[in-house]
Amino acid sequence: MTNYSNLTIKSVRELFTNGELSARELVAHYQEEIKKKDPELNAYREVFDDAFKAAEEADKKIKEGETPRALEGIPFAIKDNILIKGKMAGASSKILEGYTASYDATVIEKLREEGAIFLGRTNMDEFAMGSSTENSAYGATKNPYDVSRVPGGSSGGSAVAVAGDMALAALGSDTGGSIRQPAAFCGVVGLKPTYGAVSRSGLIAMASSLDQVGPITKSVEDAEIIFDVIRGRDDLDSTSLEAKLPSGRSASKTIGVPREYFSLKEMGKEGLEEGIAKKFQESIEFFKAKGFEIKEVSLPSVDYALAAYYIVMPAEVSANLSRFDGIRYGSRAEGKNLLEVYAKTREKGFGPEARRRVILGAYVLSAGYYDAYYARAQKVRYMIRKDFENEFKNVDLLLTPTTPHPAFKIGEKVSDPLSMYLEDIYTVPINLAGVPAISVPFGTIEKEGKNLPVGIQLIAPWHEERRLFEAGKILEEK
Amino acid sequence: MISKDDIKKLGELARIHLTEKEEGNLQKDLENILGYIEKLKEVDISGVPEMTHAVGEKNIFRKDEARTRDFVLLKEQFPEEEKGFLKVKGVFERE
Repeated sequence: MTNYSNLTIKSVRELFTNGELSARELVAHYQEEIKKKDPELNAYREVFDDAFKAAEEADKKIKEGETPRALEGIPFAIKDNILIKGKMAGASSKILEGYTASYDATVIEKLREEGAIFLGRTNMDEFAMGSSTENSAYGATKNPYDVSRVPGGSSGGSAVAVAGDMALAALGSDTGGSIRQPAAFCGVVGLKPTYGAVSRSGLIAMASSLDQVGPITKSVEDAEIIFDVIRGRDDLDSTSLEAKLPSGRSASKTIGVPREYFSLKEMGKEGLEEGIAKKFQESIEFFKAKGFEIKEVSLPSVDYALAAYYIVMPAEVSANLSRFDGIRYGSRAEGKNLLEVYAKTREKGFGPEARRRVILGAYVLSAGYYDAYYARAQKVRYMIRKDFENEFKNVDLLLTPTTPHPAFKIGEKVSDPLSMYLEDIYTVPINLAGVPAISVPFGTIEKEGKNLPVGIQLIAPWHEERRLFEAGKILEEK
Repeated sequence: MISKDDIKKLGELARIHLTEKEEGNLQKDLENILGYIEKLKEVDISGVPEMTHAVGEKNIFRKDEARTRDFVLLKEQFPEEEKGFLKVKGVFERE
């Protein structure tokens, strides 16, 4: 009898080759779990009907003795903003209703080449704008640890699919924390690769200088296997890079703890919650016991990261979302002239948060405000990047909590945009600097009788993902 | 700080029709968010360059060749079509 909830890519591979499990059985298992749990959790927007057929092909290959590829027969859940040719993709927005992708995203092509199976597409905050998956036009996703709480966002559906045993692994996208924060809230692993490590071709863009695709998995090793498949330079994304070989020491020895993360307090609102602070302290002690040297470090500009982010990101959003106008694809509203078609289509198609960010972005970029907002934010961004550069001369890795508190209640922050934005305070600086980071589950804390997962974030210098995997594997031993 | 007229103007620039109620809400939300962003004014940015690229600032070239896409699927996405062409309203209106 297979214990499905403990499966990893490696163990599935062994079971496949020993003939103890087939890809069909695995796909059938997940489809069964989806049927049982998803009416309540709402992780999936659509379950594909051709997954079983793909599983049959994988089984045939394995039976015929072909060497299984890296992800042969591994069932994936894919965030609704990543294009799969011939499948609908909507970024959980009404404006893309009825849209079918005419090509594969590069990450999908790469997963396909290694034999992955796509179970379905997952719910998200509309255009990846949000930290709770409540901004989806198709209903909120719920946290499997406590269904009255959010799963985090924007890749909430992907995190819940993995945490709820409705997929073996998933892809998400991370602009300011959208992979790591839901991974932390749902007790799974989430990796935001170095900016440029993974191609963005076929990812519906939110803020192009910050967006990265990455895996959400049950183990650090699974995240590593998937990262090795999807990374690499791509002609279709001019910002993608071929990763240089890891430099310097092969094994990390020193870990820095940025002191600013303990004092970050925003507008009198909660800083680091006590329960999380305790778990974080525990993780520090754990690394110490494993022989790491822990150093206090300083990233003086991170205090300003979120403010800079809320200029840079909406500015890019307002430009990227201008393509959704009802002309070439998606839904189109009627109007008496072209201008009215645009304005009505965008009124009906975009939800409140998308509209808010488009308007905010238009404002910070408008004549007379550029220097006061956008130029200043780009300068602060430079300073944040420098902070990371400086401290990575002293330490191999940085360690922080992924979030200041565990999963919050559905509806708790939805009426106050700013309090929702503050959710990403620990994750946003990483995107601005472009460095890679991973959230690894580190036990739970009890709240109202429910055990809620805690995530610990490891941050590495540019293209040093290997350090994240090494230390992450040590951390998950706990 | 930001007036309702500003919001109206931004809605026009961004090509989003806004209801009057929404204009009011947006005015409030934006004031809140911009109030928070104000803290950037404390930062001494003298002599700091703008970070204008997330990765190196160099041109990436590739051959100027057409790529094959699935044109049938592409065309199926047209909201309105005539004789296989994308149909849109005229840019200039006839009197």
